[in-house]
Amino acid sequence: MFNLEESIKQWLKQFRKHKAFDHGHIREMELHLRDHIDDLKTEGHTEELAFKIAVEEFGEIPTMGDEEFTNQKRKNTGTALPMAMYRNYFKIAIRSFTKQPFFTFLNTVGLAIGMAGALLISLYIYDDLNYDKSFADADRIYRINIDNKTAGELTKYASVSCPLAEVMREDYPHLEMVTRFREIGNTLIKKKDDELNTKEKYVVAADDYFFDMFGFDLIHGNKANALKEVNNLVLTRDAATHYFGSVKNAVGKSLILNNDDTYVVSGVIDNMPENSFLRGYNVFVSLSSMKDYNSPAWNNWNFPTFVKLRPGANPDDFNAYLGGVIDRYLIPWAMQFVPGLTVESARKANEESGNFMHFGSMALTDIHLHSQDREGEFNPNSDIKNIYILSFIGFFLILMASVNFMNLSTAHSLKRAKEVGIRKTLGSNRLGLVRQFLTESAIISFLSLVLALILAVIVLPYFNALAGKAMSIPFGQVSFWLILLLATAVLSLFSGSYPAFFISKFAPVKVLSGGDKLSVSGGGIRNILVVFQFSISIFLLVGTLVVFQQLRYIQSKDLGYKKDQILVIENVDATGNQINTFKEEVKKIGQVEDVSLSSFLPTPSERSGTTFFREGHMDSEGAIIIGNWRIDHDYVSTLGMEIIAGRNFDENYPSDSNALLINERALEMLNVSADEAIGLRLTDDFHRDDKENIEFVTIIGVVKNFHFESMRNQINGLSFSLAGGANRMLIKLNAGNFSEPIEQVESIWKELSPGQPFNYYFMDESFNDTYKAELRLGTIFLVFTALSIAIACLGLFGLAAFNTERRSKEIGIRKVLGASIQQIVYKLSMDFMKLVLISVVLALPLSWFIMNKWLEDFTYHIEIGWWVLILSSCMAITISILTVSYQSIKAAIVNPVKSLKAE
Amino acid sequence: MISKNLTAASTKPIILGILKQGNSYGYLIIKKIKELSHGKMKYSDGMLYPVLHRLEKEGLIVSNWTVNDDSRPRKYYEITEAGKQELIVEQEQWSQVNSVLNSIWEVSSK
Repeated sequence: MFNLEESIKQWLKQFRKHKAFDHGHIREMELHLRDHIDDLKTEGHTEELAFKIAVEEFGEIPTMGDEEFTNQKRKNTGTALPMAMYRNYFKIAIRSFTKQPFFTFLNTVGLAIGMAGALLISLYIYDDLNYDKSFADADRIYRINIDNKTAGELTKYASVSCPLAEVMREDYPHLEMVTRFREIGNTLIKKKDDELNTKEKYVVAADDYFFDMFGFDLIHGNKANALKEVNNLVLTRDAATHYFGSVKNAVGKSLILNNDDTYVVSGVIDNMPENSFLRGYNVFVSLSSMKDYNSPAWNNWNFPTFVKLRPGANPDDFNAYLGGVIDRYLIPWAMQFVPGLTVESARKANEESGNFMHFGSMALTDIHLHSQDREGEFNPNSDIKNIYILSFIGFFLILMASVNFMNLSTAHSLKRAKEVGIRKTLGSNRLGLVRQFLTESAIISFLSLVLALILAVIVLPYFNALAGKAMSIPFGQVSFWLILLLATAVLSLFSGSYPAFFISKFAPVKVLSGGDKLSVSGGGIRNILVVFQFSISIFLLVGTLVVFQQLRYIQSKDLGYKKDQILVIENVDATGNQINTFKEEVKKIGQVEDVSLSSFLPTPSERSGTTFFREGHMDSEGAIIIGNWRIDHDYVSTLGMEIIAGRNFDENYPSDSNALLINERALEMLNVSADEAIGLRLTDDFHRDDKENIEFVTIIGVVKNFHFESMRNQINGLSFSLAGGANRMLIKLNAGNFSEPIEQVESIWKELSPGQPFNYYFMDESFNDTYKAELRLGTIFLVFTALSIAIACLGLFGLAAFNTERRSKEIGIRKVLGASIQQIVYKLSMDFMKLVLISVVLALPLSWFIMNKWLEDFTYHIEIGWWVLILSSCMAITISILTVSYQSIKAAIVNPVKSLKAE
Repeated sequence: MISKNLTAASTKPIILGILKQGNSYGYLIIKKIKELSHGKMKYSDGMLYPVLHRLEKEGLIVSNWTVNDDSRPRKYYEITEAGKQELIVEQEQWSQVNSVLNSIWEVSSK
């Protein structure tokens, strides 16, 4: 019996066999046939006959299909062709990814980690390079520095003498503007009727040119006179809100500084930019409020001074002008006090001794990265070296990720050799294949970019905490995306090019006839790349170990004083005339061993220097400039310092108020032995006109050198004298629970100075702060070392996986022939161990050399021990053994039946 | 009977010409060609479709499926502006061929 529906169904099946027809086409044909059959039936034909006629008149389906196919090809002309080609590449790429999810995963994750790391490092570097560039005319602003070498001691200052600003204004016509600051530091501030003080760390005095110099506008107040009047101050937005609740209310109100001076808020300014030398500063006091704002003294370097050159002015000319300031102003000023001093004699003395004093300028935008260990900086600076180190790490991170990609792709490609062979046989040209593989690397790269961005967003807060910055990823900036996309494109081209050219080189005959000959090729370069990766990892390992070892050395080195268990109370001058009562009361606490009052600590705190002349040597040769700290009788014992000659200050000798303790370095500068020094008389009172009444101080003791600056620096000459006016209390505690004595001290404090903030810290914490930069560098080193090792391991893991897979048959046969699991694991792992060993040999000397260079920066540093090198090598070897052996063991324990029956 | 080659060559102007008279679908177009040629232009129905699809890809015609309640869904073809231009070109070419043939045949018959 004829079944029309079934027949039509059968007929339609023929269309489905042909690729040229899609569903729509087939439906169209079906309807055609049905229409035709209906017509034939109305003409009187039977259903069966109508079907036969309609099918016959429709014609042969394959011929039609071919025609349709030519159609479809025809449409691929012009722009459509490349599009379809790339669509095809894309399709094949995705197919090969999904076929090899493990390799794709390794590739993408490795690359993403590298990219995320490099992105974060780039952000860091960008932030550092843009320091101070946000100020108006930043390119024309310069800071004046002084480099001074006295008695063989070079000290650099970021602040200069008071009269210099006025002198420059008069002398040098190419200056548009000069502004002066004066460092004030920790200040207690409260509102007029408030009990409680706030301790402000970032307080500085500035003159009224300040706003125009840096292009600031006041939010409230008058720019022209805000910093002109005595006892005026300008607050930042945050500070104004803190004290007065809002920005509007602040102007005209009073604030009390250090429980003593009343200041009027004359203006409110925006917060200082985060990436500027002024970051954090929030109280600007008028410079005229400072006692010494008009001091004629050229030997007091307390005034950070900035100039703005006129457009087109030459900074070299300006420096040349500054070079003459000493002879024209400073020496004539000193001649008033030093008998017999002339410009010529000073020059001659300097030539003989190698001493010098030099004014110079530094571009504002150079301050952050090129101004290290100068005294009088507003904020700690970074170092261009860190930028170099980080760029290096970032570059290698991305390079390692890229190398991974190359390695995995070429290894993986051997599996696709057949595909390449067949494609070539079918007429694909090499360019087409290269394009195919480059498309694949582009897809992986952009996939990694997405992953990297997600990673970076997640990690950024931690990185900010680590780096001490407030960076954000500039997602809103077009240039950021352009750079990112361009970099990714370059990266994908770079990582993809070697695999692409390598794979497309395969000769079809070789590949298709099978054989392992092929696997040898490319192996050489792969090995080189692995060696390269591991060399870098080993270098980073050595680097990390050395940095941390140096840090530990610094922290445990005999400092010449004992920093542990010392509690520091800040701003004890708030107790006013009760300060000695406070000291006596604290002494009575059981756990307190010793108490001392002084503003000067071996950790960051107040500093001051003095020029001393030896009695009978009142000429430039008899001068030494050394630190002068004002301490009390208990200072030396509290800090556990050692007196190596003479004696400490003693309450039984009233004459000790005119006595001096000096350190060993000062002894060297005076060029006398310790015994000769005792009884020697010095003076800093040379300014006075009535020379016969000059007051002298007598050296009564010599203190063993102790480290009071970073260990990057030499120990400088130092002297102690007895004086009051201390604003810090040092409390040496016995071992035990510290919370109890702290509570007791606090309750005494509250009694004696109600309403004043009780601020304390332990001296060793503050000591560690001195090495924050090193600690930060160490941690950054550690993090990126871990990252780069992770990337290298990912690569090694992938290679090992590939290798064992390729050799699975060999392993099977070896097992059948009686090889033990250990032997197989050993054999498989040895291939990689050789490479790691070569890396060790290459990396160790290089690491040793580079890290020694880094250590040279420290005056006091470790020697790199052989064990550091051995340990790093062992770590690298162990990590790689662990990585490889997983794959080796997995392959070795497989039942040989499985691997041998395959194919 | 008109030869296969000539039939194939003339399919394009014929289809465009039919569609210029109004929208139509595959089966109807074939039917119309058969009627107009009185069965002399005979080719397999199926070969019409690749031509229609090609013309569509060239942008000379467009298609859309139309569903009526009382009949089967149809894929209707409609001539585009480009198609109308193309038809004019085709007409000119065919007239030229025609006039060439005419002049030759007039000469030879004299």
